Amino acid sequence: MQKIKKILCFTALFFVILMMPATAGSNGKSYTYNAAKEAVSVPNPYNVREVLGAGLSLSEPSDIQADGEHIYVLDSGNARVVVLNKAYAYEREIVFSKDGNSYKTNELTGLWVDGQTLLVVDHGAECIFRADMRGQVTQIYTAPENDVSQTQKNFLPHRVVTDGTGYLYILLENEYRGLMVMTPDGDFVTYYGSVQVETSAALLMDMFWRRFMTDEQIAATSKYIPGGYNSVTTDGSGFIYTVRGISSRKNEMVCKLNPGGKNVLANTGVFGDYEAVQNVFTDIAVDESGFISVIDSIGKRIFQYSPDGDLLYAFGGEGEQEGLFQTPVSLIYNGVDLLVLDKQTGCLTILERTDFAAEVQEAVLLYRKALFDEAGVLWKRVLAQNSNYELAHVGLGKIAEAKKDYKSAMSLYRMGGSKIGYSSAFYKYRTQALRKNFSVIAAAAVLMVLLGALFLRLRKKKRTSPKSDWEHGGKLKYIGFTLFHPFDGFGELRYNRQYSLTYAGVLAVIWFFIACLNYNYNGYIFNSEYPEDFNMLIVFGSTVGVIVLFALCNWLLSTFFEGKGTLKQITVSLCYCLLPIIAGAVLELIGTNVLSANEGFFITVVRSISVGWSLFLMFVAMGQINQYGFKRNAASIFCSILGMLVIVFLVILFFNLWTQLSNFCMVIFREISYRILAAG
Amino acid sequence: MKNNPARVSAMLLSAVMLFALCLPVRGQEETASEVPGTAQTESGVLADTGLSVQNERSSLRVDTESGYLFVQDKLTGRIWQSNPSDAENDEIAVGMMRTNLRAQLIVTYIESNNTNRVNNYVASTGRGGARYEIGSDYIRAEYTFVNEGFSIPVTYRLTEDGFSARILTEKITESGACKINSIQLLPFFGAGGLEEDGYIFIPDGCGALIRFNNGKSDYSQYEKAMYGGDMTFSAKTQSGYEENLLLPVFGLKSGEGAFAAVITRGAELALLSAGVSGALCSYNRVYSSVVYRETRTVNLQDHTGHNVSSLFTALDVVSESAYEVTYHFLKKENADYAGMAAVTRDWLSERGVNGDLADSVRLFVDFYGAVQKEKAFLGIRYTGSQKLTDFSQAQLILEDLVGRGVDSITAGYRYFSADAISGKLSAKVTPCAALGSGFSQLLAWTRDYDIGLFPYADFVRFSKNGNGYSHFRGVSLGLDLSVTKRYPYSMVSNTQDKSRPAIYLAAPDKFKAAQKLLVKTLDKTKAEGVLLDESVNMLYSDFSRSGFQRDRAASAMQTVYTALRENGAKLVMSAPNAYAIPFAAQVTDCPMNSSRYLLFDEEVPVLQMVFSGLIDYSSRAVNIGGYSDEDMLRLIETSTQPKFALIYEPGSVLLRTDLDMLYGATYTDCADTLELWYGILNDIYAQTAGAEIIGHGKKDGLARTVYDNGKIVYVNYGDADAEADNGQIVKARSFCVVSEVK
Repeated sequence: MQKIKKILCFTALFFVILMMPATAGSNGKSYTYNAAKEAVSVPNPYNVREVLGAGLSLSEPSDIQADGEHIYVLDSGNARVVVLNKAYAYEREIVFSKDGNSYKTNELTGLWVDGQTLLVVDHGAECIFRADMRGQVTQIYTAPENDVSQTQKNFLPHRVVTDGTGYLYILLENEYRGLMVMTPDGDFVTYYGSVQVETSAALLMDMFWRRFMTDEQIAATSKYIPGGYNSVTTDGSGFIYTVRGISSRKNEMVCKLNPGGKNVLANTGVFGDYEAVQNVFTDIAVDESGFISVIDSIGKRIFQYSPDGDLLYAFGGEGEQEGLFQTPVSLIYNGVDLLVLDKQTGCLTILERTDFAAEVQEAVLLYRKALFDEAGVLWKRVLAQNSNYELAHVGLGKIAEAKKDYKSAMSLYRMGGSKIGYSSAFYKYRTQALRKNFSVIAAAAVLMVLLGALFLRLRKKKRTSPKSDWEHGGKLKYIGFTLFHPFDGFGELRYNRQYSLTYAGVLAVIWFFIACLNYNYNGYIFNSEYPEDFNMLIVFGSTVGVIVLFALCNWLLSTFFEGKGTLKQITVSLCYCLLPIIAGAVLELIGTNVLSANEGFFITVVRSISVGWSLFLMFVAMGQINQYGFKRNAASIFCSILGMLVIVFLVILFFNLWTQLSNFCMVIFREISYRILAAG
Repeated sequence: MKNNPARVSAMLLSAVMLFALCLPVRGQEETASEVPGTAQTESGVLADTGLSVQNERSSLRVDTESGYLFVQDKLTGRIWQSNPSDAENDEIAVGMMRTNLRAQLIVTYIESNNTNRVNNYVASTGRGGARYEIGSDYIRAEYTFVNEGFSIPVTYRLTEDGFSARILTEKITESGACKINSIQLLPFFGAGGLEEDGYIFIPDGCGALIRFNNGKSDYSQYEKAMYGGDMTFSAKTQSGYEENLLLPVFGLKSGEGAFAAVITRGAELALLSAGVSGALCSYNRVYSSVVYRETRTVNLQDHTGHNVSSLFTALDVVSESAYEVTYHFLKKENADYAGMAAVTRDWLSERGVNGDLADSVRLFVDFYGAVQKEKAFLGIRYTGSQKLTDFSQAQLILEDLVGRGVDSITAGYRYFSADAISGKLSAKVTPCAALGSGFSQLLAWTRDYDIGLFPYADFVRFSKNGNGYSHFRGVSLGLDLSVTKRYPYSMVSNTQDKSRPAIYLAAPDKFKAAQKLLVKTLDKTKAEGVLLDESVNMLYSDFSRSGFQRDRAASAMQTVYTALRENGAKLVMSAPNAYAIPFAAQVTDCPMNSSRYLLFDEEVPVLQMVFSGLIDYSSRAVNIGGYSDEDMLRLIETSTQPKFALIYEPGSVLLRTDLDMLYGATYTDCADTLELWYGILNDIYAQTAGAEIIGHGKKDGLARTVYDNGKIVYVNYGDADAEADNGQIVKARSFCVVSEVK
């Protein structure tokens, strides 16, 4: 025996905010999405505390539930329920029996703890049975006889939950009418929270072909019903939460249904991934505070949302490492821990929040309770760990706005990518600034009015007839003349030789320049583009390029339509027509920088008027220059647009051929280099 | 263009190959029963049939009839067998596995584009193809595979505390059409049966244990390339983070005995495998195999979205260095993973590891200079650089740290040169002008305060042409002779993100140019040394005509390290592989965990135990990804120095850059935490720094680390107070140091 003497004993004086139990890290990559819909990495929100695997000897487990005291794992392969205590230690197993004999089950897919009884979904046997905590089966629910709308042959339950009154909400496979509601006695009540049929091109095509099919053929083809719900849960306050699989409308992948069956999260935004990555949500869990976690069975990740449906982070991934999953089927909260059940590996992974996730969740809750100062402290802590977490910036922005510090609220909202918040802070900031500088602004306005009146008075004296105006003023003034007198202006253009290619070119370049400015310097609230993504060539193509292409097509087609215009005349007149668009763009550039989102109407009006005016001018100009009648002009313009499309198509085709050719050469080169060089 | 001839021919070609691949691998199972002289040797008895040699510590006998090896450790009396003695009674093994259990070598070979597998028990020993030759302390076996036409000589030689098995790769002959791909060496040496108690040690990350009969036979069994996967073969998808095998060692403990096996030669070509009972057979085994010749399925065409796969074999790039595994038998008192760590430490120090050892805590920091960022000026897009920490700001940070009492610092400087920022091969250690002119001042200041300053350098990886390396010249080629290109993986889809700049690898025979630049610029910059990252932990082959397999690539890298060392430069290495460790002065970024495969049962800090008393080693940056007290307890348990990643600018500038994971690296955000951690660690490390860890254990959340200077550190991860061996109470989530008095 060695004698050991104590020398020192430290007690660590940790700065711990929340005492966290011993954890291991997580292997997956965690991320969230920013306002630009790009994935950005975040610190791990959850760490693996423990993986209960071989010890429980689960075989194809399919569902997990918790009631605060115990955790119940539905071990389908062994037709039993494994009960763990709160600290995740094995307590006992529940094996089902009926009237003293063992109860035979087929394929168990769902479990629900209803008070002191268990509701177990036997998908294979097309029933749901109720058992007490010793496994005695007391009641069996099958297809209700009083469901008059019964159209499906089979009763295929997948999951079940109950509400406060004990009514059963049954998720049936392939059921588009929603969840089947049943009384505790097994009588049919109604369908709840119906799944809306999505209109898609495929669906429309299908409907079209069905018109020509015989009844037998129709019966043989699969029915066009949307992917129904995949799982269901409830939060105890009357809301039913559902998730579903592949959906073209990603904003309805997660539903929070109120007692009326209406989805209150319908307008929150997209659930799951952007970037054209498919998601199939297979299970959902809601904690006491309302945080929603869902499993994505494609990426094998967990997405966590705030009670309002904002994405907090996604984490996990596919693999045979701790914290990664093979076939995650079910998840549940136990306090703040998150438990994930993997069907393939039979593992139950216990995840616990990191400081980062704890701070994010606390801050969200405090803000919802309007405790701004407390929330602010936490958001700042979140930012110290992840300076680019947008939700924290938005949270701090809201707090600054509430404190009337609009200027910093604006910059915070901007960092958080919240246009709505920015606009509201901007509006208040503008009002504040106007109020503060009212005298200066008022004086400036009066001065402007006076000067304007004086200018008009002087101008009126000089003015003679409109026609002589351009005759004296030259080509530049002629542009202004065509603006208000398009029929005369463009009609006489070819005779009076008052058109200038130089001015036209300048106008086109100005349009291009303003378009560039619009892209980069339109006010943040209205600018849907990201200046970082700016590509000058694309803007050039969509301004000058379009004009040149249209002019070319129109001129080429004038042979067929007996048009009289030359290429130069057509180009010049088209450019002259740009004046309203340019003016509109300038107004837009100014307007977007001084208006808030709810005043966006003005910008729409300006845009519509300017574009409409320009298009009208162009239509008139083409008719006059080519000396077309109305019908012929319309036909020529239509054909010109078609011609543009053909040219664009040819360019793309050529580009494709070029890539194919270069690929072909690459492949030959690779084959030769391997077959000859390597072997030789 | 739908039916271009190249695609047709490629498809035909691959169809033929696929068809060939689908043909069943046959031959071995049927012949198994014909094999004469099945080993009926009683276990534990060294019968006198066969050849035997012995030295003071152990004796070795080869049963010439069965081919079995018996090695007796005279110190413990334990007899280690190359194959389980009751292999024929295995109820789980079926098919070829039944004879594999009795084989010393299992060979994977390629015959006309088929991959086949054969073992020496059936194909060589059973057909009379094994010849033995005995020497003073060795037995050489020549296994001739009669039908396959190749022969593999293996030497079993007694050593000081065990024996070594060496495949003489240069003497391998292949006379037929069969080309050897890889050879599993002694796949069942020491394998533990269903009743036995023990574990397998795998050096994955910090190290992991797989307990015998852990019931995890449904999970994927372990197989992984030593020193990380070959970078010339990029995996299509990458989901989670995985740790590399940094040390070429594995171990097995069964009952009272244990061995540690070090791959002493050719580790660069090794695969490490482990399996538990229930998966294919009833035995828990760990073994290594050597890749003699690379074979992979490579996509021939992937531009048009139609992938045509083809099996590619490197015909001229075969391994030339011998492959040797040395088995060390551990004494009874050392028969655990601490004993395995000690063997590895001894092996490393024999190879000349001579690192710095701090008296107490040493803070490692990594500064980040600048990063590329897409910017726009008046609508014109350009790639500019975003400054993160310039030289005067780095000095401000260091001054503040010294002011806070943090005085023992090793500072790495990443994104230091213009090349490193723009993505060229960063062999020039020249300070980037955009980071200000204050570098010489900073260097002088750090000298005064005895702070090590190490600019980052790299001679293996680049994405932009320059410094004599381009996408066509001086670049490593894959098996299909196309340029090796790797893209960073997307977080969301887990596939390679081709919108980001591709990464190219410098050809190992072209390191000379980079080496010259490194030495020259380092002289000019006058820095004490360099920080190497990818150059010490990324290992890859080059399959060009003058190409190298990984073993020669590693020695080419060692040439560069030697040149740097001879020039007086100190090398700080980030997570170095074993071939680089002897050249390191300090090691950073040691993995603190394993890959955490579900197959594993326990994580053990063997890497840290090996480094302790040998060289200073730090963790990865603890302030990235949010720190917790958990991380600190782990540092204390493993005696690891802390590392912080630091930038001066606020983290918001990192948005839309490649460094957006550096959230939380802003100095002002983490300075207080850093000071606090430094203070706590300083008190403990003052007592344990420089000492070797000779014992380690963890039970119910209480970890116990024993140092050779008599100190024992207890770390309690649990939520309740725990009691140390001497009755001392260790508070929940805390730690204490006690001294042993003999």
